Amino acid sequence: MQIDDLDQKILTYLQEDGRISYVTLAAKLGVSEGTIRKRVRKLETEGVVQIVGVTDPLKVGLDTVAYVWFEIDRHHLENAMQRLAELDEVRYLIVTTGSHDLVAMVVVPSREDLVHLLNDRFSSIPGIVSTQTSIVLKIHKQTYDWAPFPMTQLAISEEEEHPAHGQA
Amino acid sequence: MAKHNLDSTDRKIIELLQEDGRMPFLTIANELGLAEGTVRRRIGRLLDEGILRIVGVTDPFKIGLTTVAIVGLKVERALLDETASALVKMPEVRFVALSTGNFDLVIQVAVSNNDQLLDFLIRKLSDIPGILNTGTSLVLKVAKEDFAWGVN
Repeated sequence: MQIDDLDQKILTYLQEDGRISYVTLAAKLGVSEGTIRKRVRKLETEGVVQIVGVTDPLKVGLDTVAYVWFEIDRHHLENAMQRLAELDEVRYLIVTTGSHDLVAMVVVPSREDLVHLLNDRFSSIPGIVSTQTSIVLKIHKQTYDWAPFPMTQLAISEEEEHPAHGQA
Repeated sequence: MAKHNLDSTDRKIIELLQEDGRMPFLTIANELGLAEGTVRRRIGRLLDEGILRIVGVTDPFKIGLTTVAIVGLKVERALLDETASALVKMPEVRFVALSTGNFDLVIQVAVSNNDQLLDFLIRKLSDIPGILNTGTSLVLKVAKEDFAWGVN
């Protein structure tokens, strides 16, 4: 899908506040509410954006967050990837280059659950040659704003055209 | 700090918002048999305390940020806090965590191309004092990305 300038601006606002009202967005960007609604729906359908509530795991009682680096036997890569992705505890899984083949971010309630995950559940998956685990002690930053241009830049240019804002 | 102080109503509200971040307060209220004001108040508290954020999460690969990497950093102990703060300020760094194990910090970086990644690794990281060495895992494919943690 081709992302145009309007899409980018919509995305930037949504990254800041997923519940921003379409009326407000329409006013800020000088288009109709219907246009905003259609664009957002298209961006969602195409998988460009998901508007979701995200929690800080360490603040909601899921005390153990870890990164696990996997070395996988080439022949089993596809299968191991699928099996790992099926596990609820695995929240983020990527295929990578370098000294490892897969990297997973896992989120579990306790250290005990992590041990169980590493020793019992992962070990039943064929092809895992080795793992290396980094337990996350503190999350300093967790953002989902991948926009290629910073919000501040946009906010300034919008401000000039529409000095009044903030109505719901 | 606000921790473990989520009751089952908070958790149910979060669960619904994890499915659809724009679900109207009234719909949530009806779904859970609560007053709309209660839902509004609870969500306000969850947002204020940083427990919950409602955001549009974009797929970096679909908006032109096609080079994503996970970088583990070994950092000089005494400079750990400073290094972490410097990384947090960088816009291309999406995630910064303090960790145990082979690396002291684990970060996620998203940029438009390999040149920018190289520039980040060689130039920008070298400007930060305290980094002893790094291990970079370039993301070839995201097999799973799920944000709905934290309620079960």
